[in-house]
Amino acid sequence: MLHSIARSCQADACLLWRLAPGSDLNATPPDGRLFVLAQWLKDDKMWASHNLGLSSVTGRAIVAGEADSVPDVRNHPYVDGTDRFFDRTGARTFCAVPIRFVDEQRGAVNVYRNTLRPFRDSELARARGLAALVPSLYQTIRDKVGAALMQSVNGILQAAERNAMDGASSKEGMRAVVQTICELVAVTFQCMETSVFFEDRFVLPGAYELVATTWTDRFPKTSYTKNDGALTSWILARARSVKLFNLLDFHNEKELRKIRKEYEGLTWTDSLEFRDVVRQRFGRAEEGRQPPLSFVGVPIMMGNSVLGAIRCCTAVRPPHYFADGELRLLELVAAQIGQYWSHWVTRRETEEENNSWRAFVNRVSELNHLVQKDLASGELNEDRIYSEALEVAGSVIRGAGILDIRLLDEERQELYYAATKGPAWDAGTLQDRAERRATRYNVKDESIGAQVVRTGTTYVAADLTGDPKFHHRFSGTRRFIGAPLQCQDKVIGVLDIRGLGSADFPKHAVSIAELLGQQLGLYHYLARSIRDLRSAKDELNREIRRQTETYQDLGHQLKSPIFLAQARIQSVLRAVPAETAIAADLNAIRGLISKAKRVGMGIRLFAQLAGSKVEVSQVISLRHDDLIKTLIEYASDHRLLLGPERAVTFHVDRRGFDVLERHDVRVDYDLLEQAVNNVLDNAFKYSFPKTTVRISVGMAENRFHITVVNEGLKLRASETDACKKRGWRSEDAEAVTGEGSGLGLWIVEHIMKAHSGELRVLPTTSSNLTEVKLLFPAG
Amino acid sequence: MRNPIEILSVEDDPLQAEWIRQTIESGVSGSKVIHMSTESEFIARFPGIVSTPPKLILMDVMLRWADPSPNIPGRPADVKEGGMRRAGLRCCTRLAAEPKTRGIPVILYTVLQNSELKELEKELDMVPPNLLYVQKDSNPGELLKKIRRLV
Repeated sequence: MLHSIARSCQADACLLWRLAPGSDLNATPPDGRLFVLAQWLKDDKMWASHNLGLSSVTGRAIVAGEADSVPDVRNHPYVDGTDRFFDRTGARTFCAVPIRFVDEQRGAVNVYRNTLRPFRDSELARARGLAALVPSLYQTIRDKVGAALMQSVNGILQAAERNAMDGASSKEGMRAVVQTICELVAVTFQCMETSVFFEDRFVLPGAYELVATTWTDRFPKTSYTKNDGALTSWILARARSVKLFNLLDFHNEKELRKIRKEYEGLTWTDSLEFRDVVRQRFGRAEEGRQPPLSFVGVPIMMGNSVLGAIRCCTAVRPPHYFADGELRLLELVAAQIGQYWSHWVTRRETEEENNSWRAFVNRVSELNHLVQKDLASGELNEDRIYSEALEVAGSVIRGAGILDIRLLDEERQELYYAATKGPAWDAGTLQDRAERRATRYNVKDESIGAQVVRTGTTYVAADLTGDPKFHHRFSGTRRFIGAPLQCQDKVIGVLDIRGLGSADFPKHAVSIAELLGQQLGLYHYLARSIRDLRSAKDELNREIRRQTETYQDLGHQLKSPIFLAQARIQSVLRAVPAETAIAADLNAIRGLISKAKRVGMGIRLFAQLAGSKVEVSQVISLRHDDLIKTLIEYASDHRLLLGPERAVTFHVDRRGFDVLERHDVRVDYDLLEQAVNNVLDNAFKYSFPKTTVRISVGMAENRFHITVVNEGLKLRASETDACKKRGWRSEDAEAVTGEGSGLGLWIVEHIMKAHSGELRVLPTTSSNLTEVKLLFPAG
Repeated sequence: MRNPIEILSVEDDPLQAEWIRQTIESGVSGSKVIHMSTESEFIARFPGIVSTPPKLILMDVMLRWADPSPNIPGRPADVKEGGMRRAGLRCCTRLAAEPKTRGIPVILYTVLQNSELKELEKELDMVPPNLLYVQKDSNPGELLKKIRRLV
């Protein structure tokens, strides 16, 4: 455009001037300066000078708002004819046409000729007409550049987000993305340095570290806080953008005042050597007017919090200056990067949280295995479990440096240390360590641990510095989590987790601490329950022993009078004629005594079985006559007890008894009587009216058997084992049973085992016959 | 000839039932003991008790539900739940619920002690108004004294 304007006026050069920021046209005299925004030189020999004052011809034209021309630069009161520009370009005459940019800033289009030929009115009119188009053209170009930049930034960030969705969210990846954007901004703004700083609360809260930069030399400062007085710090502290025309203005009192008027308290602490570095970069070491060292910096925000800053410095190409448009563009870029950073931080936190929970679940599972192993051995090693629990907390909570578990001593109402972890616990002499571990805390005092135990709620402190409730046993502790160890609303202690560095605990740390507290509470409850159970079991065993002894004693006491009564009644019965009323009464009495004997023996055996097993004591060889007599006598007794109404009879088959003359069957006779009586008791009790209980003996499977068959209640195949269990009764048996405790066959089974024999119960046949066999080894 | 004084004895032990019959019939002049041996028999014959109420009922507490037979009547839910230890008390509740039998004097004749009986009684919805308690004993004097007074 400038070339076109120059050509239309047959000129050799054309410059576009713009009023520098901070200029004041309304001051008296007007205050300000001009810098070259763009230029066209016929032979492109040099870059036009900066810092043209408002007293110049161009400045006056801008202030007056009217075009002006200079016929001879070497002979004009307001032109410095010795300016190197005129000298280097050979310009002899020029005209200045004032313009107004789209943002209302003033400027001028100057057209220069290398001859003394003055500008004609028609040429001036053409220059004015074309100059009027410059502002909108300039704005269009800027907008286009800005839109291209934003489009590119968006594209980069969208691609980065897509990659992150696929799981790529490493720190290196994030740095690469921000670096690409820095380079893009640097190219667009044509500046030497574009840098981005972010606060990584994960690692070091309060420090804004360099994440990416286009500056290739050694970086003078790679980390800022909000308070270290640097220019970037000011941006971070005030959360405000800064745009400076020339950093060297900090060394010019007048210009500094102007800067401070707009940016209160702003300082630039870098040395002037920076200028030399820049000069070398520009490739213009020679003296003379240098382009300004422009600066623009923008805070990167998310809501009200300052995440970081992006800054650009020293524009390397004309106009060597960052305009408001660049500032606004940088603010848009900052907003985009801020969003990306927030997403990245959230993703990293989520990733950390997921990893921590996964690790926590695994470690707790290991802890449970440990507990299960302990349980198998019957004793829970609480000390080891607490130590392991601290290992778990230390490994899954980032920054957990000092950990311990304090338990409540209910009797003394004090908290004492049950387990500790962290180098701080081992600091000092042996005595120091012992004293540290032995410290106790009253649960009624104001300490945090006491408060956690009293309220059952977790105490969380982000910064304990200055907290009077905190006992500063470990200097440097800043963060603290005190989670209750509890089970069934009862607090039994506290899990203390302290963080030393400045980084915060991760967000999930509290939940992990609370869960671990509950888990430990559960273990503690389990350990206590096991101890209680063991103690109850011991007491129960003692009680069973006492009861067994009592039962045995009662059984022994009964045995003698019953034996005597039985002997006497037998003797009397022998003296009384059979089939008389007295004999019937005596038989009934014998039956009752027999029942009493059976019950008495039952008590003794029950007592034996409660302690261990039935003991066989007085073993004798079974004799043919004795057995027949016993079976008949007991069957008769049972029939009597059943009463005549039921009309149940019995039959003893005498055919098999002679096997006892060929085989030696050794039994404890008292136990044999008990077994036979119990079997007969069931047989009579469950027989239908007007049926017969059949008793037989013999050899089967090389064993001697006593078999009782009755016709009565059904015993199913599925019930033949169950009926030997203590207290078992079938549905029908329940209905017809009066007294009795369901011990009969249970005792018989143990008697048979004591004889290395067998109780065999066969299921009821279709004709309602149930067979019970007592099988004894036979020699 | 005067009508005999009918006394109903509900007792599931045949030897005891016979002893009770002999003791009462010989100790209470003009008495005749009618015997029932199980709870299901009592229920089955309850309509007869209502239509011809006995002068007195001697009730055992722990009673079998039925005698063994190929056709044992099914046990109602309350019998299954309460078991044989409460059988006599269930019979008493039945008597108390029926206006015609409510006034019949009932003697609970049991080996249970009074305190054990009171515990069981607490579970009953209804208790006959003239319920007496006599513990089973080898000396029948106390039992006969009470029977004579009531009949």
